[in-house]
Amino acid sequence: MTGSVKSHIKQAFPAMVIVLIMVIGTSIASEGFLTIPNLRNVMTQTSILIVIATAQSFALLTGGIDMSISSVMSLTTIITATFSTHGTFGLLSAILLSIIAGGLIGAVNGTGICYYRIPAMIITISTQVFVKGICLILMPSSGGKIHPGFVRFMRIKIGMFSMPFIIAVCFCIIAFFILHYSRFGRNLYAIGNNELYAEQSGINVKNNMISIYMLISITAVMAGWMLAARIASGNPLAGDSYTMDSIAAPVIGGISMNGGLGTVVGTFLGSVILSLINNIMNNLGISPYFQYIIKGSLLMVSLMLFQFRRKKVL
Amino acid sequence: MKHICILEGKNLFKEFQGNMVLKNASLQCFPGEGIALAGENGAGKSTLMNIISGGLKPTSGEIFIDGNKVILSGSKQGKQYGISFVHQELSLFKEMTVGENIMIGREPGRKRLIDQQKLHKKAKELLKEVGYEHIDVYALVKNISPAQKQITEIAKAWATTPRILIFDEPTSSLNKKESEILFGFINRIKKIGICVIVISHRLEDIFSTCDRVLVLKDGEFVFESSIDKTSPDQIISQMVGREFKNIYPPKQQNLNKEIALELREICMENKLKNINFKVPKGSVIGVGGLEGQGQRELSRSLFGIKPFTSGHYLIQGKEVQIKSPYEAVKNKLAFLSDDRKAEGLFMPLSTEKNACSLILNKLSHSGFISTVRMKNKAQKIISQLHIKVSDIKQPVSNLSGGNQQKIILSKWLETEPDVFILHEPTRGIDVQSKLEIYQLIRNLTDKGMSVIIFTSDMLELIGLSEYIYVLYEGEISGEIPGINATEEKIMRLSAKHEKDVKK
Repeated sequence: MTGSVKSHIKQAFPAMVIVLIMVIGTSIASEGFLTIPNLRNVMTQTSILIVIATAQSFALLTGGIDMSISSVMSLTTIITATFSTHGTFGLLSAILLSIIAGGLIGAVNGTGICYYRIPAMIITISTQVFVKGICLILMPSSGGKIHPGFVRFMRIKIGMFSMPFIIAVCFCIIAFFILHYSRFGRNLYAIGNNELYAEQSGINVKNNMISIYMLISITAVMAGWMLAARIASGNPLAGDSYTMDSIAAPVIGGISMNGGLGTVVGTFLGSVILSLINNIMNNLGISPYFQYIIKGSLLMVSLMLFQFRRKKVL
Repeated sequence: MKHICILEGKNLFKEFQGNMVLKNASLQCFPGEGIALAGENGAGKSTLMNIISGGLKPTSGEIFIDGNKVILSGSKQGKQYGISFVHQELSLFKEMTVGENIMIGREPGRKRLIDQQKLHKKAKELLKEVGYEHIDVYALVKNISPAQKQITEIAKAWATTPRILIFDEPTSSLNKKESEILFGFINRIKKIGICVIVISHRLEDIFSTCDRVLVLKDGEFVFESSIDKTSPDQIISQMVGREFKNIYPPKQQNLNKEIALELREICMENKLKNINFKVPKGSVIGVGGLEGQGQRELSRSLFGIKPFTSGHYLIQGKEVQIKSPYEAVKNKLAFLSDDRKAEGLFMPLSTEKNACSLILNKLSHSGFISTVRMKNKAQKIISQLHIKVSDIKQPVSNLSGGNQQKIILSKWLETEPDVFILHEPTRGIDVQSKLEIYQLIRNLTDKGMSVIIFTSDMLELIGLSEYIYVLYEGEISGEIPGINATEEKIMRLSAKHEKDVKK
């Protein structure tokens, strides 16, 4: 491992420790936890979050944020559920259509941010609301059907791993290489560190920003497919809960909300932590409402920790 | 040596909000030549260099590269033509390694992928060419010293394979030995036909590296000479030799014995060292020096924005702890920031609201602000200080710099401070307002208020202050009573000749 990768991975240490403590703690406290079906269950539940949080990490690393991903996911489930029942051709057209839709939304986000100087938070909330409207018009309540072959494919199990988890891990590895070993990734970190300096160093910030937001939206489309396969239908609100979790996971994993610091290894661990909380609470029979409190406090603590460490560096 | 000129600037003018900062400047750069650009703060050196490197657009004038007229639309384009600028304030990515910073935008590797090992090897070679091979290219920029950052910045500019390399104060964070290595590098690249332009206050830099010296004063070239036909003294006198105009109100002859504010052995990590400082009641104390020698830190920590790390802070003879602006205001201090737009005013709010922003409690009845009282107060302030506004509901962002500055002064004066800290009070404002502010300062000190003025305008410093402290690298390098002060004396202390010799 060379260059600055090590220091970025260091950011994920607290998350690693938390995961370890949680796994060991619950294995002792609850017998049902350390069984293959349960672990596979946790991993499957995490997989969509891992994909979407990885996409969100790209936005956070540039110092931005993408709030529109939840609507893009919902839209994808709707498009897939509407078209994919018409045989293989239908499935292919659903894939194509949702990618085009995702790419377009990403392009609008990126253009708004770098050409019109709208804060990322604002423009992406606007597209989120806009796309949500489209979703509700197209399909006011849950319905449609997903291509059965696709659903079956996503339910394949290989040993203790399920297909969605394998996809998510592959996805994370690819993202890691893009971030640390490609020009595009270097530019992304540079922009996150300081946009002005990046521009002065001869990086085409505007083009890069648009590509980044398009990439995020298209990743959200992929997460949307995974979600569609899981719920086996289209749903205009299916993606809603993912906005907040997709931000929480990278932050818990040590990605700076100010940009330019952290890695997807952290995002992966952050996602696992969020799903573990879910699973452990369910296993221990604690009300799901408490999960919000735990998630909220975890987020607060990791943000505080971040500020504290930041100060020490300065 | 004089072949064809690489770059030529002809009759360049630059105007900033009605201020002409560059007047009819023409410059020719030949291959293999070292050009020194000297001049005081604000003489227009950086402006000129920014225009040449594409960072700024001239108001009028033309730029030729290899004899062809070009219009540079950004520093990126300037780089494409082979013009690279090593800025004084460093633009490095602190979470990346030294090597990644040097090679940014030029990463080696196949297609889209980066070969990290090759990248760092290439960066190491570049550093070696510059002459500093001992820097760890794998170190993160946030962990290296200021001097190493400076060198990284130079290697980064060198990596663009420039034909013209511009240095802005290249040795400001280097020690003697490191500077010499840099001079060696500059002389080497001159031999292979690269044109070097050096902006520096340190005359040593100029004499070790340049063939030709140009002096800018108030935006105009006033002196040009080949380096062997001139001397440091001549350059200094060319830089400062200005007529004193009688624009400053008379000073007080004797300093008051009563001390309003005193600093004893004040330090701040890496920024300020052992500052001792006395502000007598009813006098103007000037703090001078070149830019970036700790003035910003000192002025801001006096007002508690970033507190001192050690030392004693005394107000009216009593030791106080001022850790925030809130405490500073309670101790009857006032502060005028050098960044008027960002820190001085609430730009979108009205003149009225800005002028009364610090005394809202005086203008309110049981928690509610009385609009009538606010309006009357604002009108009174505006007429007292001759602030020109068509309507007090007008946002302050529409006002001229001079009027904005007067509003900041007036809003603080409403809090009836004992000590007023002014940081660059007349930067970027018109002459008329300047004179009014000088007169205002004098009126206030006559009434017993003390003023600490931080300014890089030498004439202002001498013209206003009863006593002058000069800062150099975070230390007070000398103090002069205002009556004895001359520009040359202050310049000497600012450039700290003696200390450099001792090293």
